[in-house]
Amino acid sequence: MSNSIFDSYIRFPTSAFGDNYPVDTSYVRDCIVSNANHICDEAGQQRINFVTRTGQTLNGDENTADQFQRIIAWKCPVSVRSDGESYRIVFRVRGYCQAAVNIKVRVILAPVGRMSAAAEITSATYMQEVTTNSAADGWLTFSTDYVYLSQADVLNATQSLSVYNAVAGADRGGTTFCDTLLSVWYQDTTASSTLFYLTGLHAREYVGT
Amino acid sequence: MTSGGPVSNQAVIGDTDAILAGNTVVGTPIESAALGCMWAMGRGAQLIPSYMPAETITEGNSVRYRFMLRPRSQCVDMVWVINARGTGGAVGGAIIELTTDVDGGTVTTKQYSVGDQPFTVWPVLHHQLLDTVSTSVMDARITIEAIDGDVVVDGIACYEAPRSKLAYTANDGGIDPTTLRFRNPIYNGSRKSLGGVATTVTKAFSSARKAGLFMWATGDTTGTCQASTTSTSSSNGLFRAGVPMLGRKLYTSSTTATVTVYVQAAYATGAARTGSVTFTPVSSGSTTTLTINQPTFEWYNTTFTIDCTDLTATDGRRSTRWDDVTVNFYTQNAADTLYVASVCCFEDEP
Repeated sequence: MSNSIFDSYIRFPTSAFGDNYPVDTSYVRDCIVSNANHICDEAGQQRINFVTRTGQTLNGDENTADQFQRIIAWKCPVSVRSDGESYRIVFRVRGYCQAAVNIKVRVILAPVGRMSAAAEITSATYMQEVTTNSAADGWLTFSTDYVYLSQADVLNATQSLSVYNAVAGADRGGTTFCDTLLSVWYQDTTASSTLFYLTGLHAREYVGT
Repeated sequence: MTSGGPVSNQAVIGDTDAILAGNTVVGTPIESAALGCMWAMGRGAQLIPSYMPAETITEGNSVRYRFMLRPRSQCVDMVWVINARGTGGAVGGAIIELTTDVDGGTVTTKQYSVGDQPFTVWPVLHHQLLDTVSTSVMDARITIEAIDGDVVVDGIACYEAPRSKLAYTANDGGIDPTTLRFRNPIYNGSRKSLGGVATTVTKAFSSARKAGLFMWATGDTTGTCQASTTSTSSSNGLFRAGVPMLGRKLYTSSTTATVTVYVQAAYATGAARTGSVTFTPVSSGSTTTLTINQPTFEWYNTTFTIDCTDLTATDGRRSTRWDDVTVNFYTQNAADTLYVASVCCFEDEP
C-alpha cells in the first residue's frame, strides 16, 4: 500500500520553498506530500529479531496436556496505518521439534491483556499457523508471513499513556499507543508430549500492499 | 508547558491527487504532510529489537549488557523491556535490580519482582530518561543483578517512548499546523507554513529510520565467560544461522540499504595477533570484515549493504528473498581466544 507516487523519496532543495519563490504545484505534490507519505510508509520498525547463539539450547515447556502452549510473548508496540489497521508484522520463525512428530506452530499478535487462548482461534488476521515435523533446526514456511490487527483490534489495543516531551523528565503530556504482544505457541498434535524449540524469530513492521 | 506540533496515534497520509497543476494550492494535503512527518518522528523507534539472551544469572551476581545505539533526536525517554523469571527467591520468583545509563550520564537503578513462570507475559518496563537529546551514537548499558534468587533473562528490548508533541526546534522538528490551514498565507516561516514543512520533511527523512535492525549483547566480561568465544582459526558462526534484515527504501533507484554495525569485542592473546568478525548478507554475498586487535573490550564499527524494501511486494521483501546476514568470527591463531560481547546493527541517517 505505497502511499507515495514514486515508492521513494525525491530529493529537493528546501530553498525552493523560500520566501518570494512561486509555489509550484508539482513541487508541493512530489517533494512535500508524496515524500511525507513515503516517510510514513517506511517508518515501520524492526520489533523482534534474533537467532540464538551457536551451541545455545533452549528449554521448551513441558507439554503433557498437548494443548497449545505459549513459548514466548514479546511486548510489541505496533504502528498504526492511516486507515486504522496496524502495520503488517512480517514474521519468520525458526526452530525444531524434539522428535519427528507433527507439531502446530502459531504466531499471534494480540492486544496486551486480550491475548486469547490460542486453541480457541481458528482464523484471524492476527494469527498464522504452520505444521512441522522437522527435528532439524530451520526456518519454518508459513503460507502467509504476516499478521496484523484490524481496526477493531487496534482500538482494543490502544492505551493511554503519559509521556515526557523534554529531557530529564520534563513537560509531560498525554498520548495513546497501540500496545500488543507478539507470541509464539505450539501444540503436539500426536499427544506424545513432544517439545518444540524456538531458535529464532524475526518480526518487522511493513505498511503492506 | 511548551508548545509543539501534535503527534498522532496513527499515520497521516496526504492526498496527492488533490494537488494538480493549474489548481489552487490548498492547505489540507500540506497539513497532512506535516502531521505525517511528526507522526513518523514522534512515535518512537525500536532501538533494540527484542532478542533472547537465554542466560542465567545466579543470586548475588550481575551481567552488564552494552549496546551502541543511535536514537532519534526526538528521543527523551528510553523504555527497556526485560523478560525475566527467577527461582529460589523469597517472593516465589526472584528480585532483580536494573541499572541503566547512556554514555555515563544519569544512572537509573530500580528493583523489580519477577515471577517463576517461563516466558512471562508481563515484562519489566524500566525507563531511562535522557539528560540531553543527541544525534550521535550512544553507548547504552543495562546491568541486571540477581538480588534474591537465580534469574533467567529471556528477553531484552528497548524502544523510544512516543511523544505527544514535538517542539518547534531543530532537534524535534515540530511544525505549527495552524499555519497550514485554509486562508493562511504561504511563506517560509521557521517551523511554520510551507517553508517550515519543507524543512520538516527533510528532517523526518533523516530521523524516521529503522533505528534498530538487529541488536545482540551478552555480558561484557571475559572473566565470567558470558561473552561468546572462539579459539579456532577457521570461521565460526556466532549465531545458529544468518539473521534476516531489511532496510528502508530511500530513493527511486535504491535496491539496497546501508547498515552501520558496531561490535564490542576483545582479543585475549598476543599484541601482534588479531581476530576477525565478519558479516555476509545473502543479497550481495560480499563479506565485510572487522579486525579485532585489543586485549580489552572495545567498540569496532563498519558498514555493509542489505536489501531495501520493495513496496510492491506483499511482505516488502525484494525478489522474495530473506536477506540473511551471516555473522562469523575467528582468530588468527588456533590457540587464541576472541570474545564478542555485542553486535549492534542499525540504519544511520542518510
